[in-house]
Amino acid sequence: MNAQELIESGKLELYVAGVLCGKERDQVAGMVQANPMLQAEVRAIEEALLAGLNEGKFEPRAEVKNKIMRAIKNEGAVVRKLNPTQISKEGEGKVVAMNPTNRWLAAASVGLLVGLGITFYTLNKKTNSLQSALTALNEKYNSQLAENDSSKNVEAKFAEQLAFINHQNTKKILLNGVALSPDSKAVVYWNAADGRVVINASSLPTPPNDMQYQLWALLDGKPIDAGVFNVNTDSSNLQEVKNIGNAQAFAVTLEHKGGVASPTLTAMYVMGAI
Amino acid sequence: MGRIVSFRQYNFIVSNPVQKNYSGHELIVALQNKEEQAMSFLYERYSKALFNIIYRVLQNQEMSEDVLQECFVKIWNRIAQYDGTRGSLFTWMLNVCRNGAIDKVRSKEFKSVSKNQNLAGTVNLAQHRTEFNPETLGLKAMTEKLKPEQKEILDLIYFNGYTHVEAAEELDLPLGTVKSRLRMAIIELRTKFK
Repeated sequence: MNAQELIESGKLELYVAGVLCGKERDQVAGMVQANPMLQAEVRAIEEALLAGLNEGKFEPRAEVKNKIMRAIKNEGAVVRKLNPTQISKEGEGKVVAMNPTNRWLAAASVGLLVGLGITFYTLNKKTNSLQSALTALNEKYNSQLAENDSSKNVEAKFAEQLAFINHQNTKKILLNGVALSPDSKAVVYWNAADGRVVINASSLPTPPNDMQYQLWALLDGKPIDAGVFNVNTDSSNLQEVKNIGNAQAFAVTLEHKGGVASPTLTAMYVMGAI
Repeated sequence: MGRIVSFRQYNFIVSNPVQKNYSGHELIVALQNKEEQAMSFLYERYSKALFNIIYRVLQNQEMSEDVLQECFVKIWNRIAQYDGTRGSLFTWMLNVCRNGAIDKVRSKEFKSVSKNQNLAGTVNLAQHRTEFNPETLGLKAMTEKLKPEQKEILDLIYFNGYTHVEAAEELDLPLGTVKSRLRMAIIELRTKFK
């Protein structure tokens, strides 16, 4: 059989599939080895197959490669094999007797090598476990830092609110429930000097989803919008609303979410004069 | 004398692996020298194709990934046993992966999973051969242009590892027909993926 006949026989395709056995495979392999045209033909069959398979719908997730690379790294550290082509052929087949000292030295160096190998392997393993422990610690440390940051922020906020409430120009106005909700109460802190307003409205009933409470300042019988606020907030229950320059009283109405331009007086919950 | 490698250099090598290209022979030598970069190259070049071969048999992402991983580690460990005079590296790896997948099919783990997933219909456990239906198995793009009988022969021989004698028996065809059909199938693929 010549090369062209081999190509046309369909046997090369079987050879690439790895399903030829014994003699038949050796015969094809021998011909391929000796003939660059057949080698090119084998490569072309492989490339077509590879290209076709690479169009396949499925692929391994990226971590599979990492796992493999890790696995071979550990193996590679223990058994590093020499390239067979690098093994020198010099002195092959010659057996030279060792003198006793050399024999002991040889035995000792083998022992030393084994010892070193074991030490290296153990150290390598230890390093790997230390590495992962370190990564875990690092993650923990970072999350603690983040937690710490946020608690520091809360603390600073509380301190600032406390300072505002205790400020000499801050007035505390008690807002009592009116006819609609006699038991409701709210407290407004208003600083006459800079106009800042903070409200504690924790005892107001929870509004429906599409509604929000709105604070009004009353001056000479006219309502001034002081902004909307929520009932359930952080543990301080204090919420800052809009600044108010001057006022004689404060009142809270329940309005559509986002607030309205003028108060719905029938929906007034609490009110209090300064 | 030993080579002096500074730690800085070592770090550079570790943290900036450059994907190197290898010719066929270079790749085998580098793998036999246990060069990790060569393994990385090997994976990039062949993993998807081999995965599709394995998936073809197992029909399960995780199990196929496990088998792929085992096979690549096996390839790494046994590269010294690879004999270039008996076939190409691709053929050798194809055999390793196909056998890995078939061993998995025979395992208890596979039987319990396939029971749960009701895969018994797609995998014929008695014969360890998957039913022929490339459309549902992700190889549609590959086999689109092939005639049904070409697909069938490609499937038996390349994915299920049948010899041409076994394929001829299975399909009740003369040996010569099996060979020529397989050749025509590959020729179709070659024109399609040129």
